[in-house]
Amino acid sequence: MTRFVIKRLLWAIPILFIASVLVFIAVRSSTDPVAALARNPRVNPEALEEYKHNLGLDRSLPVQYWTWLTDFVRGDWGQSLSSRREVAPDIQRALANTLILGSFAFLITISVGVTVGIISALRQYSKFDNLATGASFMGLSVPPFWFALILQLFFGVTLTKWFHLHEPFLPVAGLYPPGHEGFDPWLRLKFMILPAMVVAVQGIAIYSRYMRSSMLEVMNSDYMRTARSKGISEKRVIVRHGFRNALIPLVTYAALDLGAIVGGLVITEAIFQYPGMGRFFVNAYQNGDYTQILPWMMIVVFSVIFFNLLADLAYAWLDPRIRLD
Amino acid sequence: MSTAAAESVGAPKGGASAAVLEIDDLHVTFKTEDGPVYAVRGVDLAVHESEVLGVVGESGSGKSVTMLAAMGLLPRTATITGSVKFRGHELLGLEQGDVRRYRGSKLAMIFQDPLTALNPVLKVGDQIAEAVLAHQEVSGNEATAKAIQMLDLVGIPQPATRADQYPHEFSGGMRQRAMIAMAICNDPEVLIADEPTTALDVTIQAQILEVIQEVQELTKSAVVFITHDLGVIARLATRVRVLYAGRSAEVGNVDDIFENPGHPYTVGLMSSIPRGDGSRLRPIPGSPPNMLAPPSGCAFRPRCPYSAEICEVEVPALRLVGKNDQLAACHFSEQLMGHWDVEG
Amino acid sequence: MTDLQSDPLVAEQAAVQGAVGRVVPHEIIDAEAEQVAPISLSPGLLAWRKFRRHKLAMASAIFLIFVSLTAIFAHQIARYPYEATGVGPVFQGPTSAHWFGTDAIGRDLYSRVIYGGRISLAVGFAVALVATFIGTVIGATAGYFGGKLDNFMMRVTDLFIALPLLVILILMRNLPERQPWASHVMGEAGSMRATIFILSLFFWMPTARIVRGVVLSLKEKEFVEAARALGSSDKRIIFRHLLPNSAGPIIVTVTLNVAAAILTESALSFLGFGVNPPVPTWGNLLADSKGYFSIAPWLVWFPGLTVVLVVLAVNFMGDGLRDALDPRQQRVG
Repeated sequence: MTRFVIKRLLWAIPILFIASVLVFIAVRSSTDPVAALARNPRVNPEALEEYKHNLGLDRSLPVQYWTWLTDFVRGDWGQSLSSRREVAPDIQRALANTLILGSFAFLITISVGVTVGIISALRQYSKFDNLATGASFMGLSVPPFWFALILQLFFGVTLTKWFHLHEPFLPVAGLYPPGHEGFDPWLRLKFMILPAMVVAVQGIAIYSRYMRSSMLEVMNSDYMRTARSKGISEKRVIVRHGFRNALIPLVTYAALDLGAIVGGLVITEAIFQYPGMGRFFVNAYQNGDYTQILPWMMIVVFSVIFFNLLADLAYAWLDPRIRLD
Repeated sequence: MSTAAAESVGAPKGGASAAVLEIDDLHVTFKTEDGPVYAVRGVDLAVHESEVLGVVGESGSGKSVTMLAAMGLLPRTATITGSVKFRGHELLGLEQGDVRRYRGSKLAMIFQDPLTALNPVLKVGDQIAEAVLAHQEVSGNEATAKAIQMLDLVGIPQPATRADQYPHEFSGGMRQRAMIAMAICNDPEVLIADEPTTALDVTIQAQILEVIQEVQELTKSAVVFITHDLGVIARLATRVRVLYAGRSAEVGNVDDIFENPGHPYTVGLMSSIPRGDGSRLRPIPGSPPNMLAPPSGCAFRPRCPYSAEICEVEVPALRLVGKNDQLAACHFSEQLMGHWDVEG
Repeated sequence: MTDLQSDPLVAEQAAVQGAVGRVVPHEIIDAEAEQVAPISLSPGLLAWRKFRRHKLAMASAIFLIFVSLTAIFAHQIARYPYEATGVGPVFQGPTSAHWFGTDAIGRDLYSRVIYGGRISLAVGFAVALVATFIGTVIGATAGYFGGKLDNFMMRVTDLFIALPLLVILILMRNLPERQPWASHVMGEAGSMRATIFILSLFFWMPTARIVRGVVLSLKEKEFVEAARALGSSDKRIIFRHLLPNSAGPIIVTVTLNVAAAILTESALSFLGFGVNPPVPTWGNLLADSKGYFSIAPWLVWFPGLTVVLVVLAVNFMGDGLRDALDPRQQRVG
């Protein structure tokens, strides 16, 4: 088992390296940091050249890459091209916000999705199952951004009017009310409810279907019948033999899903104006700010690779048949 | 009187053993998308102490379903009527909690494919210990010790190491031995083996049969051995029941049935086995009936070379046809016995 | 059931039996015919019958055909050109003149939704087809040849699948503007061709995984061994044996890809990174409308519900197809 882990870890290093090259190429070819300046008629050509030189854009691409990489791993992520602020603290804050929102949504997704999936499988074709299936289809078919708008309308405007409140029933934008200082966990939670709901609706649809089919497949396995033939309680059969096996593909999927959180909330954050990684990226892109985009991509790629590794490990840990790798 | 009663009256001569398991007029119907499937249509069965009852039939004959019904392991889509008695206690219709006291302790079952029948993510020793803990008041350690002891009993080398391993680390034959160990750990009085050797190589088959035989001699339990392989029956069984299309075709002592079969299907089965004496194989024409709509009257009629009008109209009852309480369900058994046209 | 009684040979036997009381063996004329004869159906016909039983899937299929027809015949069905401004009062709710109402600059929403369907559906179908094609080829190759190639491809695919799709799509969107070679390959930035190209680039990966899985499981089956024993080349085995048998899951994947592509395209458009205005797509329409939600909610409801209904229909149809094509449920007769 340890050999498995070490082997996977060793592979991660060259992968990260190659990823950094690809990221650099991709980002640099998609953004043009001087475009905005070049369009500005007040900037003369010499100033433009000086600007380019300061950024190191006149050196060859590989050199630029290496400079950036060495700085990056040392923690020097430079300044934003558009705002001149240090990139690192801004990104870190965005990262923290996204992780909080993502984890919150994930928790809801897992607890509701898995439960619904299990009950659906155990009561296949019952009213509950049919309802859950219908709801899942809805969840998968509704565009999340549209759903977000509807939620904003309903909770922000409609309910407020119904109950004659002077502030929205549920907040529809941002992290805290404007002007709020300090850290207030309850307020934070309140502001995260709607965006988390948008994310969770899709997640619940997927996880419940996935859990249901995994559970059904397990329930029809021969070893379930063997377990029953031993005379153990049905509860034990379902939990120890059924659920345990059905969970395996789900854990792998969940691990990969977690890895995607970091870069995956773009739409939700845009609509709810939540200051996370998604919004950070969109702003940076619109400004052509590659000094912000590069570390952003690296964080996302790292997260993906890391959770990929975690998924492999989890799978091997849960399913002894895999360890022979 | 029911055939089970008839059987227990003329019980095997080897001692006045009572019937351990008695199945009476069992009917099992499955609800399916295409309609009801009549898997078992009135089967009686009795097994006595120390007896090895072979239950023979093709796929679809209802042999597995009958025993699964006795164990209460059929899915909810199955409608079961009739009676299943373990030493006089009725099992059908019991609450699940009560049935479970018999299942795994008094009545144990081993299945066909040990690779899929064992939980792949749990250690073998744990799976056996689980069965022990379900029925005996012992500690976890004691259960594990018992598991190791059982593995040893069925001939698995280094049982302590093996108990700590997973099913995929065992070979096919060893897995089946482990299944047997799991079934006998609570000293069952009836051991039901559902085609335990079908998925194994021939050489391993012989080993497993030996294990079962040894186990049976040791525990004196009754064994119900389900198979489609007459060779296994010849080797292991004391009594045989032949099933066809959900009904009994013939019952009797092994020797009697082999020497003097009373049902055309049994004859057909025996002619289908290569005998190594140069005689031609005579397969039974046609294929097993569709249990969604079984033929009227005798289910074997369409494939039977001796069928007549009455066979389509009247279901032949299982009746005494030979000595030693041999029973057969054919209208013409008496005329045909001993005169089967078995020449190629 | 055959009329055995009418067979002269059997009738004679019956007479003989009645007289002598002795049974004489006779020829089995037609043992098979006695059974409820299994109706032999081609897999396609079988699947069609099973699909028909799924009322929801059938209804969805009909609905989708209907929607596709409106997209194809948009010119005939739409009442105004999609870019025509001022054809009606600004921000007017649904009326008989404008079934879906009008937007901020007086454009007819109904016509815009119809034309929007063209783009969204076209992109959806195109991406699904291209992605499935690429995915099938790659997945089948990886699954069939296995070994290091398979390992490598799957690890790469795994990694790419987990990357944030939207982000990469956004990044790539303006590539043709920056790099001239890109515009030759993928078309102009913001064009339909570019959008299809970009989406296909990522949508093939889950398909490849699925096809690989199917091929892997089929590879071990006896019919492949038999084909090989007969001397069939690898290519022949893949095309003649493996792919037709994988048709079921592949078809289902195409369907689900359509749904995903429509949703992704609309998300891209919504954020402003899709096809260029004034060409309407359903996502575009929602982007335009989001600021006016409180005063002109129909601008959000109609395009939104259209997407929901279409994607729902595709999903239901996909589900019905999955059941109909499931080889494990092949029951004959």
